[in-house]
Amino acid sequence: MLNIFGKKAEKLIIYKPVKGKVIDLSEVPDAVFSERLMGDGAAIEPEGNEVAAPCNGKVLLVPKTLHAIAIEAENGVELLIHIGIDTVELGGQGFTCHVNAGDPVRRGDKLISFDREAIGREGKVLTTPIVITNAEEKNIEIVKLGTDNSDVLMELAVKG
Amino acid sequence: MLREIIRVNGKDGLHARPAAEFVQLCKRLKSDVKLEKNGTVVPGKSIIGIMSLGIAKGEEVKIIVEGDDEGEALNVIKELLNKE
Repeated sequence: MLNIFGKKAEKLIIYKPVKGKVIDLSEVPDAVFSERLMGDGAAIEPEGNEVAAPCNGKVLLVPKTLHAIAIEAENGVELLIHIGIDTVELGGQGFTCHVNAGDPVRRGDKLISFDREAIGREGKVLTTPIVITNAEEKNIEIVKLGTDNSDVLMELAVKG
Repeated sequence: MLREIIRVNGKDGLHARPAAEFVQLCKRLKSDVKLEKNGTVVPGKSIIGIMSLGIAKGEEVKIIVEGDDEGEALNVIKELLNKE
């Protein structure tokens, strides 16, 4: 696809980091995501208990509380995967991380495992937003969202 | 250029919600804002950069502000970070 300036938009497929139903960010029960304050993206209602790399790239950040992870794709797109809502309050309980900041990852590599029961017992929901945190700087657009049964979460056009 | 060490009082430190609020604030300011902790400097407009500093409640961060509205910018930043 060529835009008016003749710069080609690069396509990037973001695969689901965990199997499950795709939901619109506006339906996530946390305003920081539903109002897209963290960035645009999509969310998943996870069916599994493992978060895998949604694309090739590297790990940018794993907070001490292990409930989230940021990945930089090879073309500079930054993604934040946030497992569950208000799960920062668990202080790491229920989460096991298998990678460190700076590690290169390939799509499908295991990143974080989580204990669904332990997290549920603490009254937290597992809704997992996946947001693009540098969409403005890189001029990134979500072209389309994946369906509930596909492996694809979203297709991006990167123009910057 | 103004520099000041500010204590972060929010209950989750500078994690998702407060970090997002901080970035939104920095995008509205004319001044350029940077944060520094333990020698690592990150841009105020980078949510991942801010979260990577891992600033917990009660910790201090150095704020570096440069631009036309730097005095006012530093005040609003201080107000946001000091908020419990």
